[in-house]
Amino acid sequence: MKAGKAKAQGEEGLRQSMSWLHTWAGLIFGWVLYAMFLTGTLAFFRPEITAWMQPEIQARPIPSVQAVDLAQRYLNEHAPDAKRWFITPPSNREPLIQMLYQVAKPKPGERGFVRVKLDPASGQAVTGRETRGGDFFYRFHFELETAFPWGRWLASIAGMFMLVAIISGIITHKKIFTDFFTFRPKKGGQRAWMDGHNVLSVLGLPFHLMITFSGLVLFMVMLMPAGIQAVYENPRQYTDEVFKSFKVTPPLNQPAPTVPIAPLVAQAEQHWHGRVGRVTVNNPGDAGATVTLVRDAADGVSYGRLAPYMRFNGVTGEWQEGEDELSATVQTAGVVTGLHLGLFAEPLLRWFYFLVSMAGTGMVGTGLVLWIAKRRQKARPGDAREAFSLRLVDGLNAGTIAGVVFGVAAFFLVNRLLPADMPGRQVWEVRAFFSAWGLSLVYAFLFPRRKWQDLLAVAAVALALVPVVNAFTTTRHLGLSLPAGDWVMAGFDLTCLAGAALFGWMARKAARARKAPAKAPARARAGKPVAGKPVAGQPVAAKSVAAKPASSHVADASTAQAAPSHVVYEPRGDTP
Amino acid sequence: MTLAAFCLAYAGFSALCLGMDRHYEDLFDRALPRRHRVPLRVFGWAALALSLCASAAVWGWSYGTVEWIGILSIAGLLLIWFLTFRPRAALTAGGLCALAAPVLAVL
Repeated sequence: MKAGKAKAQGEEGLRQSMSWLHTWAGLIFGWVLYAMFLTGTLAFFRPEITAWMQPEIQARPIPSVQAVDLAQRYLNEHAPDAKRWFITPPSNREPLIQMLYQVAKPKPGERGFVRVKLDPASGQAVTGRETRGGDFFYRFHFELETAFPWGRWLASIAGMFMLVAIISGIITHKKIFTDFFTFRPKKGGQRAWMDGHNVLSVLGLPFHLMITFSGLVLFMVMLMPAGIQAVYENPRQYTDEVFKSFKVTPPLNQPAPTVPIAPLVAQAEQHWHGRVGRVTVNNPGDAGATVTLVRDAADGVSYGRLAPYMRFNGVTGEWQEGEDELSATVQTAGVVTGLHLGLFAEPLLRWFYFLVSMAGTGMVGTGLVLWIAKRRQKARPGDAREAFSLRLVDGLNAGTIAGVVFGVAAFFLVNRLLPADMPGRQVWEVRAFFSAWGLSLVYAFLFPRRKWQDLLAVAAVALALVPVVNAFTTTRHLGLSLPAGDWVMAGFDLTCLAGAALFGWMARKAARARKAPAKAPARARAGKPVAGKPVAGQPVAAKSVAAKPASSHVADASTAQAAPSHVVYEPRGDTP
Repeated sequence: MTLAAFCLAYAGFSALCLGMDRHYEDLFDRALPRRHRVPLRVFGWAALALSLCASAAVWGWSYGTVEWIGILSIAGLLLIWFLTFRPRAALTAGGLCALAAPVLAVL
């Protein structure tokens, strides 16, 4: 009996310490993680966002074989001396033929990469308005717009904290199964936020764990280089061996015409019964030329980074080496990283990725708000240090949770409002993103009482304006894109409207909670006292606290963050 | 078939939810009888398993499993959202999903 008791206490001790860890690991990088989660979510639609941001470009994909032929003709003409050519045949998601080549003698200080996109219909280079498009979100997600490699390190450290927060959160959560379906917004305050946080975390848990872990695995080489340094003489050897398709082959410095690539692509596609996703030509026009074909990432879950490839002699077209069946190790690593990138996902699964990732963003957001809700409830009145930390975190919360969304909307709006031919406009789009976020933070600290309702409303209005401004500045607005079945444009506009509705609803909740805190208890009491009921199979110790009826004031869910002075919170909840 | 997988996941979660004391009481205002609990739970888990099979039948096992996890998350979140504001309708929808799933699977 005594041993059982000691064990129970040990478990409680572990839970307490994990709760502490969860609270602080989640808070320190919470704002960065919120921005990373949100931009990462958007990055699942990277090519679609780019397409929306360059509305003047309209193209239809053509088969890879013809596309590669067009690309080779263009490159022979414009970049015959390049060190390397990269060709990405068009797909349904990216209808343009994308090419990248490395010039032989780059200007000092530059790497000499030139990017060209071809219209499959004409074979001519297309130039839309200058924009970073979806690439901005993709890169921000792991580089945070900070110089290499610091941004990647910061993102990785934040990711590590996320992993710690998730695992400690699972240990802390006493009743994953009992509370699986429990969401009680009417109970208000900490309880409601706790429920919401739990639901968003537990239901999306497979995704959240996968995305956090695989995100770190993607930076494995940077984060844990010791193994590579022990086995290989230099990192180049490692990459050549693992990422064989990227291997750089040396030139022989004798001119020789490069073989037509299109028949090789046809051969590979027939062999794989799949698509070619990338063509790499090393030393084109040289006797040492090689042509490497890599299978498309959309063809398999594990092909995101590590896909089957074939290498041919670039002059004779002779098969040199290749891999169809990847080893178990490579495949495992491929699945982990492939799942993160989600390049294999069909439209339906892509939307699942998007929605569950949004739930993850909500998980971080509710977690940040929960920190305030719990803290405020315990705060002694008149504690100046406590008041300061609450104001600081609450301000950062409002300025980031609403501010990043406002920033995203501003990024899109500026894309439409700046003249299409303005030089350097892509820089201004990014500036708009950060200015909107920064201004939101400033506003949050200047108007601590109004901040939530105002900033959420601003984010909602800005998102709602995106399709409106699109309608005034392009001919591809909802009125035309919907009947035409142009789902990239229509889906983008509709998603903005859905986001606007969500933030508008949140703003209204925040405003109501601020204006009518006195009415809240009556409404909350009308709700069923669910937590007060005895639940079978639940430890008695956990019950004793929860069984107490909620104290005099139980505020509406949003009151917790919107109106500090009017809320007295229910006693410390049963879940940490 | 994908829709069938989704319906099975939703129906399965509804049954599991109804097989829990708290949610059963909320809905019917009486304690969950033992003779209801076991069938509800068995049905719930079976429906979730069938949902995996349905997803794998369309997409193959590697892709299908990923798709299934997505279906589970979305179906669960949808059920909880629905349950909060329209509890009866949410579980009725669960019953309808259970009926619709075999039809959708055949179609």
